[in-house]
Amino acid sequence: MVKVIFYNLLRSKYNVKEMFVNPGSIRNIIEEILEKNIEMNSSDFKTCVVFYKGVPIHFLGFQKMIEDNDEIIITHFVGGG
Amino acid sequence: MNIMNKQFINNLGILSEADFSAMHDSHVVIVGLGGLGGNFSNNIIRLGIHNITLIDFDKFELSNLNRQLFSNQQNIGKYKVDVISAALKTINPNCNIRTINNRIENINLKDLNHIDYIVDAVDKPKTKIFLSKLCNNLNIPLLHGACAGWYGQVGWITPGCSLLEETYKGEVSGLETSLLNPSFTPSAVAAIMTSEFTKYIQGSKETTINELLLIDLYNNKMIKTGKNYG
Repeated sequence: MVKVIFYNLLRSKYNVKEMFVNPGSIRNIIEEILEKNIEMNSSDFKTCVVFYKGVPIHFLGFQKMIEDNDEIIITHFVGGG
Repeated sequence: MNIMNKQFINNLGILSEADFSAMHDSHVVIVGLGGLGGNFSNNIIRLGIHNITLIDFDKFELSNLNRQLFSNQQNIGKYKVDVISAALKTINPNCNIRTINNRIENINLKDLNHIDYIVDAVDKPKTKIFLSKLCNNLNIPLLHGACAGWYGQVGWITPGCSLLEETYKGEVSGLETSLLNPSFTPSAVAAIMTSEFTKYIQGSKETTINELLLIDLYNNKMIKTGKNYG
C-alpha cells in the first residue's frame, strides 16, 4: 500500500491526515482518494503539489508511478511573503 | 571593538562565541521587505548580524498594517527600505546596512561586496525562481521562505539544487491569492526562517537543506518534504 499524507489546505479543509491506497500512478491514487472521500472536490487536486522522495510533482506529471510501500505528501504550495 | 556586548548576551544560551562571531562577520542580503522580510530583518539584527543589505522597490501602504512589522500609520507612502533601515539602526546603531530601492531583477549583485547569504522573502513565485537561479550563478545558498493563510514553507537551497524551480514551475501563484496573509503567519514563518538561518551557520545536522519544511499553523504540524533532491 502507498501512504498518502495530506498537508495544509486539504488537511484543514477535509480534516483528513493520511490514508493508505493501492500503488499506481498519482492520477490513479487521486481517483481512489476521491472515491473513498466523496466530500472531497476534484478541483482541489488540480492545483496541488505531490512530493515523492523529496521531488515536487505537478498536475502534468501525475502519470508518475508510485511503488508499493512508498509515501507521498499531497499539499499546496504557498508563494506569499 | 568587542563585538560581544550586553545587547546580545541572551543569545549566548544557544550560540557559541564562534557562532556569534561568524554571524557578526557575515553579509546577509534580504530580498523583499513585506511580512517575512521585515520580521526576519528584526530577528537577525537582534541576533547580532552586522552587515545587511535590504532590497525592495515598494512603499508601505494601508493593507500592509495587518502583518508588516515596521509599518504604521505614520510611514504609509514611505519606501520600505528607508523605514526598515532606520528602524534597524535604532536597534543596533553600529550595524552596516545598505539599502537598494529597486526590483531584484534590475540589480547586479556582483556590484555588492562579498555576499554570504541571500534571503527569499519575496511574494511572487516567479521572483522566487529568479532568486534560486541567481544564487546558483553566484554560488551562494538561498534561504527560502513563503507563507499564505495558515501555512508556510522554509528551507535552504544550495547551488545546484532546482527544488524551488520545480516547486513553482508553471505556476503564477499559490494559496496566497485566495488565503492572503493574516497578522500572525508571516512572523511565525520568519521566526522559523531565523532558526534555520542560525542552525545553518552553526553547521547543525538538523538544518533543512534542499528540502522544504512545510508549516501548518492550523493543525500545529511541521513536516519535511524529504531528502534525495540534488
